[in-house]
Amino acid sequence: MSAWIWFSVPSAPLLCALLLVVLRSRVQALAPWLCLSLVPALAACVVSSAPFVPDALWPGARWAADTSMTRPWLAFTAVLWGVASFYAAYSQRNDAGLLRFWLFWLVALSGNLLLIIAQDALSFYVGFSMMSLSAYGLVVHSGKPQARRAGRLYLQLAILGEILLLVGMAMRVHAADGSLLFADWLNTPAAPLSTAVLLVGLGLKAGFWPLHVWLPQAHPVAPAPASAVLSGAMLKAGILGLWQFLPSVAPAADNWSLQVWAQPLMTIAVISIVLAALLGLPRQDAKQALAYSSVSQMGFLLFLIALSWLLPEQRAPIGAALTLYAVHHGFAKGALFLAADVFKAGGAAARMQTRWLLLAVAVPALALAGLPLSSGAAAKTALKALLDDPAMSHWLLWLQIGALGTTLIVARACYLLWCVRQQTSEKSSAHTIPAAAVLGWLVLCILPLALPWLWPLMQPAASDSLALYKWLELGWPIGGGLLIAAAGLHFSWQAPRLLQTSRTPFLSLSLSLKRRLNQTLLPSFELPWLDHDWRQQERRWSRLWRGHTVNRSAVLLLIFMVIAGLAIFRTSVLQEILLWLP
Amino acid sequence: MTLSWTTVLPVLIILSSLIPGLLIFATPEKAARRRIIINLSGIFVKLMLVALMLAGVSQGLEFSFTIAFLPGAALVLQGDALALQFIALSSVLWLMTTVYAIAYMEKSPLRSRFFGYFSLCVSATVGIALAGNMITFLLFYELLTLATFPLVVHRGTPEAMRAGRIYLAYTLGGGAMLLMGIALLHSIAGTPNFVPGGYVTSLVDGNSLSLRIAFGLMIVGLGVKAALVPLHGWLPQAMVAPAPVSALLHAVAVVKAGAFGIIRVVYDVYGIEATTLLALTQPLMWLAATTIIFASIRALQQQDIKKRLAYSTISQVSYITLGVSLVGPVAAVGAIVHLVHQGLMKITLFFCAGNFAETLGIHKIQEMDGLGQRMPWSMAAFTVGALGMIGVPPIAGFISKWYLVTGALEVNQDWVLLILAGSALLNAAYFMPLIYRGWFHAPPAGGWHENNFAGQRLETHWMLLLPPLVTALLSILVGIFAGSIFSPLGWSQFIVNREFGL
Repeated sequence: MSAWIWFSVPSAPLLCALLLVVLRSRVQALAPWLCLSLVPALAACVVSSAPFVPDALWPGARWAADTSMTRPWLAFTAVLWGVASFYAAYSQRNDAGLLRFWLFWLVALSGNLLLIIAQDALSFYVGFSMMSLSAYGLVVHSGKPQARRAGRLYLQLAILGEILLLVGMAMRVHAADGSLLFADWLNTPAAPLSTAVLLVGLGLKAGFWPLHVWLPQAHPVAPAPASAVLSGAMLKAGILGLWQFLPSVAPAADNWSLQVWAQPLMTIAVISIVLAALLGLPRQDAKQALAYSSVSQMGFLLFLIALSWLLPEQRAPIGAALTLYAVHHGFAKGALFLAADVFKAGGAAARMQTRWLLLAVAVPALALAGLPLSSGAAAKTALKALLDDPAMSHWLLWLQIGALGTTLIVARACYLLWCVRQQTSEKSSAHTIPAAAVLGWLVLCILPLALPWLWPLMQPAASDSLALYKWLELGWPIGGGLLIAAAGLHFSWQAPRLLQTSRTPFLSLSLSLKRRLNQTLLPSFELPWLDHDWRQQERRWSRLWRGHTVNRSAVLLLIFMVIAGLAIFRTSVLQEILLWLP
Repeated sequence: MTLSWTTVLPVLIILSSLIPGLLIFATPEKAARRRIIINLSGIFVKLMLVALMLAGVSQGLEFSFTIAFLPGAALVLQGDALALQFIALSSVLWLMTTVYAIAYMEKSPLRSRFFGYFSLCVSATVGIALAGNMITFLLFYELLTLATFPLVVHRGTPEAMRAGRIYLAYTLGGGAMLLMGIALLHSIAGTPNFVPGGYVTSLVDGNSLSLRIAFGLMIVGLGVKAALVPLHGWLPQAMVAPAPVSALLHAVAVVKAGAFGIIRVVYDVYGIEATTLLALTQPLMWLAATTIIFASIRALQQQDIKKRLAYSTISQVSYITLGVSLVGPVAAVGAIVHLVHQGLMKITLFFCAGNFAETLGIHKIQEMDGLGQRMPWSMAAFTVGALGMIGVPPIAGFISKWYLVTGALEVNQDWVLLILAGSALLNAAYFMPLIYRGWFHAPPAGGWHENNFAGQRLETHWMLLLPPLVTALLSILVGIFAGSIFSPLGWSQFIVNREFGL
């Protein structure tokens, strides 16, 4: 297969965007077909082809995907975007600003695909910024004040992250003697400064604690299919970026290495896992709870990144585990966010019985918590296999507490979904979803159960998770979590009011920043004397010299001569005059 | 002196806009068609001559024209690679601006005067580019001042006259400084032709103070046109001029003449070696960095679209000075390529601002609500220009920013990264609200101030719409295909290889 297939992967969505602009009167009719723009991406996953080297773009550009990591990454991203695109074609059908929504959607999609197949830093950056900036259009799509507030915070932090990424990338390129290829960076140790800059820059996208502040605000306000891709696919860009930009290098004798930062980063990851689960519990809206769950799950992925820094020699197995986890979370979280719309939509979904819907949504929900036989169990087993060392066993406990928290939060989300379903009657639903789109969602729901057995890369981890003690290990957080959830439901526990609010100080900070910037901060260099009427002065000057021209010229000449003479004999004569003066 | 085509070509390039300019002065006001034909044929002749010269220079030919002028300083026109970068930019954008201006000035009086000075202005700019030594440079530099003044005050309103007075005060003052600097330099080193590596290196011993003073005077003189803080005061005032004039002033003619002069002085008069020996780069770098940040912050506080763009120009043009003062080959590529990239993006922005004003009477940022629905194409071009200024890939601005960032790292001036990152953030802060208002806000309930061209197939006059679309497209294309040889980046690399002897 020719290398051009890699070129077609990101350009197909852009071509579709162009087509939409041309045929803008028929956006509604064309929308369901837009998921076809993912065909090249899926084809590229299946067939093997040579890398695409577009030298005319910039020296060093290289697009391809390797089998172990980026190819599965590309596949899950494409499938998730495809299902979400098809779903959005119906769920957003009657929205105002439909063309705008799809243009942002397609550009974000193109960027997301590009950053995955990028094998050089600059292509990654191009894709990353296309995706980050276009996602803003998805966040504020509804135009409600809440969405605009969240969008502002999102955009401010996205731009900050992007500029930090640019600076960090430049430092890395400089350190690697100008090479842009990730493959060359594997042998280039990262300096502390560039590590810090890249951690913050990419972390702002990945959304782990404490860089998550925008995430629980922005993801819930977007339309459900957009939230699905935001949480399922786009967050992973930050993690993929950290993996590619800051590869763990076997430490040299005395050099600073990423190993030093591994332990603090693992602590951050664990805080992220546990704290986000706790913060998500009091939410009143299913999508908000799910967004907090995303923060918590990104903690697991960050944990894997930190682990790869700690154990550089195990980079390959950790990369495999990272891929498993990313794919697993992408599908499960996508299915859950879409469910937020399925539960209140009319049409085929409304005709399904609530209990079947709940059963369908329980699969991805519990898979997130690590349900045995599901992709969650496989991913978590792969993660735990890396923590065999007794010195690491305390981390294992924290991860299990995290799984307990995940169970609680997804249970809460399912409960909230059920509440939404109770409040929605057939008539009140805003839009109808046809059976085909619901089927797409159902496929996403089933995937966590099917994936461990269909996907060769996941099979070993899945069969590892079958041992009986693994069932116990995986099962107790789920069992405990479900018991607590049942108790909470039975006694109708309520979180304190203070925790229920979804407002954060960061929203008002972002607004005050915007206002502050528009105030006068610096003086202007206006020169008021330029505005004087100099013509008047000129007239007065001329009047002064009217008549006696010759005499005055002579006087002037004399003065000049004296000055010139003084300048020539300056020291002696001046001193004499000064002495002579009383 | 033998006359061959290589000696005549530089003169022809200047004449190709000078003669049409003079003819246009002689055209009666009502003969619009004749004026347009003269104007456009001049442009096409110039474009062809420039293409010829581009082909020649890339083949290694040298174009030089010399005529006696002052004792010890001949009038020299020299077509080298750096000159061509500037000439190509100004010729292409001259075409765009003329097309735009024909539609923009359609119903206004005194068009012969306007287009005549417009052509003179381009001749002076091309003369600056082709100037082969400092005296020739000074001559065209002053001519540019004289040719642009009537354009700035063209409307004749009190504000325009005031802006013109301020413009003249700054530029004539700057010109006097430049004259003094050149005279001082002439007394030390004479006025030989520009040469890569400069011609004062051997004189540094014993003349360091005079050379520093001369450099300072020349930078002040050039800094007025390049709008370095605190010499930038005229630029935000001059935006009262008609939109095509602002576009040309900001993208090509005036500010670029200053920046181009700084490039010439640093690379071809003093040379990198002497500049470093005399410790002149660090102050220049600080000056540029201050300008970048100061003007960006000032831009934030402007509520007038064109004023905000004007402050943005001040900030962006200083990228060139910054890149020059970093004295590394990579940063130099960034500086020289930004000469073109900034021109393309900024002219797009000014064309669009002019379209908004002409079509809907919009001048303030608050009035931009919902523009994307009424004028989607102009707004799209505006968005491309603004995102490019922020440095979003793959638009041209990103390429120059990338080269500046890596260039700063290459010469171990890491703090410059802070300046560039801060500038990008500020750029985002002052451009994003405009984009946001245009695309995401609803149009004003009470309708627009004016609504020209309503109900037609295009959102505005096609000649107003075409130039911004072309320049926006160009700024994307030169960004995407930066790696090819024929891109501005490839050409800049060619220039820098020559300057740095790589």
